[in-house]
Amino acid sequence: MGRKIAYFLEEVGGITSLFWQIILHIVRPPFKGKYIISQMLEIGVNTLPIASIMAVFTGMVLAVQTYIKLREFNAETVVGGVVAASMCKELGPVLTAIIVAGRIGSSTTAEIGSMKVTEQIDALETLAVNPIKQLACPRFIASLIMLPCLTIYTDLIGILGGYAVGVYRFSICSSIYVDNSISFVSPWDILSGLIKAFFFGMIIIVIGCYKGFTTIGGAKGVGKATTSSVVISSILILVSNYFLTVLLYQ
Amino acid sequence: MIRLGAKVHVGLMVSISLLILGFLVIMAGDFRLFKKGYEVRVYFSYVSGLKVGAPVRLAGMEVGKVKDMSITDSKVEVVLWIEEGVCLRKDSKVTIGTLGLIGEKYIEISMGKGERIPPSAKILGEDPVSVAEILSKGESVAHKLEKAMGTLDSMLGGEETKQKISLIIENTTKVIHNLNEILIENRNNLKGTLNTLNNTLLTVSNNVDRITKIVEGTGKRVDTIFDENREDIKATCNKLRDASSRLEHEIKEISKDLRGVINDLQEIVVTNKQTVSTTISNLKKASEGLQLITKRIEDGKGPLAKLLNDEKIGEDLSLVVSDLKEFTSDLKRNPWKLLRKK
Repeated sequence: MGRKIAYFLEEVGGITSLFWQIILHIVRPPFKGKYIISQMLEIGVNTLPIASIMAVFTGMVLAVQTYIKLREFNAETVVGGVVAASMCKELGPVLTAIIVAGRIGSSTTAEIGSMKVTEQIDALETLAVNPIKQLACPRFIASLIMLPCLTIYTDLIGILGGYAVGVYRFSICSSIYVDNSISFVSPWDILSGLIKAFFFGMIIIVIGCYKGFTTIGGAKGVGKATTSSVVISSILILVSNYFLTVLLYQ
Repeated sequence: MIRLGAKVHVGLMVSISLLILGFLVIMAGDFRLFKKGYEVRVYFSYVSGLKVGAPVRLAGMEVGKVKDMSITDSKVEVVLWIEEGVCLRKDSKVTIGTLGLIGEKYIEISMGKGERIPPSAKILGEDPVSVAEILSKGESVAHKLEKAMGTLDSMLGGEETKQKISLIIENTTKVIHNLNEILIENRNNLKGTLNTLNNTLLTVSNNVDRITKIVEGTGKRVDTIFDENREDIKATCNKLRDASSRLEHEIKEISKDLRGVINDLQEIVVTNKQTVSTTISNLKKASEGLQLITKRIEDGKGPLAKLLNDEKIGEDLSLVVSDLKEFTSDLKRNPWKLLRKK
């Protein structure tokens, strides 16, 4: 029990110190532009298709479910508003972050973890290259930029999915649907979703890098580290989502 | 090349996402960025949960939004943003309405007449009825109802009352049962009576028809008689009138004559009064004498009385008379007998 608490505290401390070092190294030149671009490509552009599929089906299923329930109250036209609001406020940022955690968090941990177990990190240090500056910072910056970007896409695609179902399957009048969607969503709803996505991006990369840098025990250790990286970042995303929502909507 | 490609990809994605973000924010926000409008301040005592951003409708058409709300001393100031070109008039009424299922509030403005309200004008809004007020009224009503129900309950609730009611119901049931039995027993009688009544009524109605027909016929006939003899009747009437007028005339004349005669008579009477009275006294004397004579005759005194009273004398007399008749008639037939002897 005591060992577990000590382990937990050690983890928290390690994550905090890594986060702090990343921040310090970001503001310190040289800025590794080409690494950032390649990470942005990986995190943003290459994640976009899978995120789009997730978003379109989420929007569609949301429209179906709300339509079935709202029809009982003769309020079918509210479907547009429900879909738009829930996509912008919650589902867009959170689901995108979970997909990125599964895709990028795992790959980050696996990459850094295998470098750690094959002692490539130590080799970098002997070459006077800071592994955090080299490996963590570009990912961190790319994640901070690309997660909000992805969220914007998923918001729009989710709304379009809901629109397709509402208008073409349930024959809700197009203009009423659009009007309703607009009346339910304020600019602040969209911006708060992007702020959430920004924090989720930090969580994914910091956890992924931490788990990678602390990997031990060869290939098996890399597998374990990858799994725990995805699990922890997913849980942290969901928990922090609640507190962020409370903070942003007070 | 690959790196350039990566940059292009990333740049494309980021710029498109920024475009989408701009589009979404503008859509979700107000269109005010591109539209001109003006502000109007409305004051309410109660706003019933109105929120900033709520739609403003003029005669049901959306023309603006609630821009800002604040509490001034004793009133709630609501700042409305209204599209340019939409004009509010002096007697436009500003009320707070409820939209749809969720109960979203909005501002309703009626068309109104009169002068236009200038921008940034101040209007007094009409306060909506608060839900709390309605609820408190409903509560008092419910309270009264409860009281009434309690009274009713206490009236009906007693064991004695219940027993009485059940007794009444029982008796009623018995009465109905008896009535039913009576009806069943006398069903045939009733049926017969009803049939008779029915027949009677039928006959009466038939007879009525006939009588009516007869009366009608008579009336018609009288009518025709009148029609046919109208001229005659008229003539008769005329004649009657003439006759009566003439009669009247005659009567007048006769009465005149009579008056003259009466006057003459009067004169005569007056002039001969003495003579008349002596005549009357003479007559009286004469009649007294006659009375005496008749009395003597009745008593049979004197020859005249004997002559009158004795029947034999009468017979003799009649014999004498008949002989005389015979004699005279014989003389008439044989006058020579006077001259010759037998």
